[in-house]
Amino acid sequence: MIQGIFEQFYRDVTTLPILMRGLQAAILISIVCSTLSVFVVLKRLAFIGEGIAHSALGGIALGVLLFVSGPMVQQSLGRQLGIDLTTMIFCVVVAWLIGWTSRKRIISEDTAIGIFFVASLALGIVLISLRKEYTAELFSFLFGSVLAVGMFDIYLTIVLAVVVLLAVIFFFRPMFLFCLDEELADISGVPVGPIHYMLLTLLAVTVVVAIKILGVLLVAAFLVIPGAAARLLTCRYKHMFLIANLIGLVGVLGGLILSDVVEDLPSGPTIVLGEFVIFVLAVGWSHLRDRFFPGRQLALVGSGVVLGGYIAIFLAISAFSIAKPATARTNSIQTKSTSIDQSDWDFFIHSLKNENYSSLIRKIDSDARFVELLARRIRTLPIEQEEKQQLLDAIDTMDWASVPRTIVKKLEEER
Amino acid sequence: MEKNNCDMTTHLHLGHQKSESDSTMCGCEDAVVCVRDVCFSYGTDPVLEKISFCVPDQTLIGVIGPNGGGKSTLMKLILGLLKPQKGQIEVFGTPATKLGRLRSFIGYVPQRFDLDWRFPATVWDIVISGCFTKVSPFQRISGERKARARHLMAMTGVDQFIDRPIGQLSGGQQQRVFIARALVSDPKLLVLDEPTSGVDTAGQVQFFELIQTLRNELKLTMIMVSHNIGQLIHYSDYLACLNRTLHWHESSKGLDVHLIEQVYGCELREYLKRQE
Repeated sequence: MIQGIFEQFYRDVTTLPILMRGLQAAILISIVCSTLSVFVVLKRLAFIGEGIAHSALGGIALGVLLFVSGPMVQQSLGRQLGIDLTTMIFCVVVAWLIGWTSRKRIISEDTAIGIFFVASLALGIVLISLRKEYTAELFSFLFGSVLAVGMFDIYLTIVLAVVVLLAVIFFFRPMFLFCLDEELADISGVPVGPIHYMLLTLLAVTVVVAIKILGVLLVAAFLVIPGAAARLLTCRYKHMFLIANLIGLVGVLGGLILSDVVEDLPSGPTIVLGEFVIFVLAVGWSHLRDRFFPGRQLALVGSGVVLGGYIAIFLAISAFSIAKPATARTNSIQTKSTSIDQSDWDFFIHSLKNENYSSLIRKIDSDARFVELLARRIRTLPIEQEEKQQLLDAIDTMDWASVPRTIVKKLEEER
Repeated sequence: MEKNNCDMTTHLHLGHQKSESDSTMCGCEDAVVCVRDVCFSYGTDPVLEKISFCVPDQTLIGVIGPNGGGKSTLMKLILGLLKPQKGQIEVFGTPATKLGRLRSFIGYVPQRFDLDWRFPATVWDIVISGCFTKVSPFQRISGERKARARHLMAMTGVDQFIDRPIGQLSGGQQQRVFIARALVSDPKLLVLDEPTSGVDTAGQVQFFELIQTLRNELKLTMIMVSHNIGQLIHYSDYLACLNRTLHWHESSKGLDVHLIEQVYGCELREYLKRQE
């Protein structure tokens, strides 16, 4: 049964490029966020991460207003880049403003975050309401989706991961002093101001990239939970990075597999809940360790126990969800794995015919199974290979407007 | 790295020469720190007015004064964290705000701060972090430096806690760890900001004895802010009594109660009797 879970996930990932991209992006984002989460936890920046994430909505709305003229789904790469860059610049400016006002002691940091993120959020909502036709798409940023990740996002995440890892390796020692005590670091010759702004910039850029998968509301979880759990498991600075990354990776893989295997489970929230379970296990372990082995860290054993516990829970849930309606599930897998519901197929053709692309995108975003079955149905269609490829490419790029009308006509006739 | 050290030593030496000539103006020779006519205010409230003094090489200066008297501000000015509105401060013959890499020749022991008890660092990590700014990002810390760190930990009596998380140590033990940390980079000047606050009487006596040992063995120049006037008069060479203005006092002349009362603005005889 356990083998079945992994086999299904492997099959889905290899047959659906869109899911493969989601997996790649989620792993990369997890590496970046888990690494930064160590600083977020040690420098108590959790609220600032949350604030930047919420203010990103203002940046996205501004980007859409500046760069989008037609339907969202037909946007070119240049326009996507425009929106992303606008959001990044917007978030970096908000992060710097929060950092500047608190460093200059104009107002305290939590007050600054409270003011700036609410103002940015309000700006976002006002701008969105100016362009009503995009409201639905913009609100999809609230929750994100692994299926909303394009090749461009993968490249962006790779660049971000390289920059963050290089910055952390290069400033590893100064950052230790910076986290320990800012004044002490300053006197020791650490450029605390630039390091603070660098950290805020990295956080802002990471949040913008991670929003696509996790959404504005959940992204802060990635920036807090791995670091918080790792701190409970070790008392060594460098070990914290390794353990946080391990927790992030296990959380992402577990969440993605669960959301793929268990029907209708959204990926982002499932990953976050998985990481929360890991955190709770880490709290439990640290209590037991302090009680029965006082003064000892046992980081390796602790990480093993906590992650092992999570994997056991994950396997139990997966197995339960598959085993419970044993016959029904088997039938459903057999039937569903070979054919798409007629109503879904009709909806697909209808959407293409009427150029109602935004509702099609929403359906694809919210239902991973739909994409998979759609791709399978397309492969079995009695049309030219080239035409099939065009449709499969459209699933990949979401550029449904590029599908020639002749193909749409053929699909209608076939129905 | 050796070349680097060499450059620093030359710079320090040159600095000394410069400060000697300058310090003649303030009436002291061989000064490590030279403060001249310094005024500082936060907004419109003056905190320090016309402060002038020199810290000669290998002396221990005790800084006393009431809360809000400007002690911490003066320390921040000497450490180059603040810039004086008037006057000049030179450390090693260089303006304090332009010390750059020379700053690593200042050891600083902070006032007991609210250290997160789960901070991911052992005592060893904290002590060795004292030389982080002396090595390049990817350079391994030399065996020589590690040996020095172990020696300093033995001197300060924290070698038995080497693998313990810093958060699990008591306030007094943490303070000694931070002294070892400040000394590991081989500083010429050690600044201690109220190091005995929150430490019990027995701990304070032990602490001042440790300071005396370190001073004799490492030939350090020290500036120490403390409220413990009794111990400070015994161990320091000069007392800088600070309450917006400065009253300079030679410790060897004993305790001038009138001066202390003037600085603190209250009756101290009874308090000092009790402390004795």
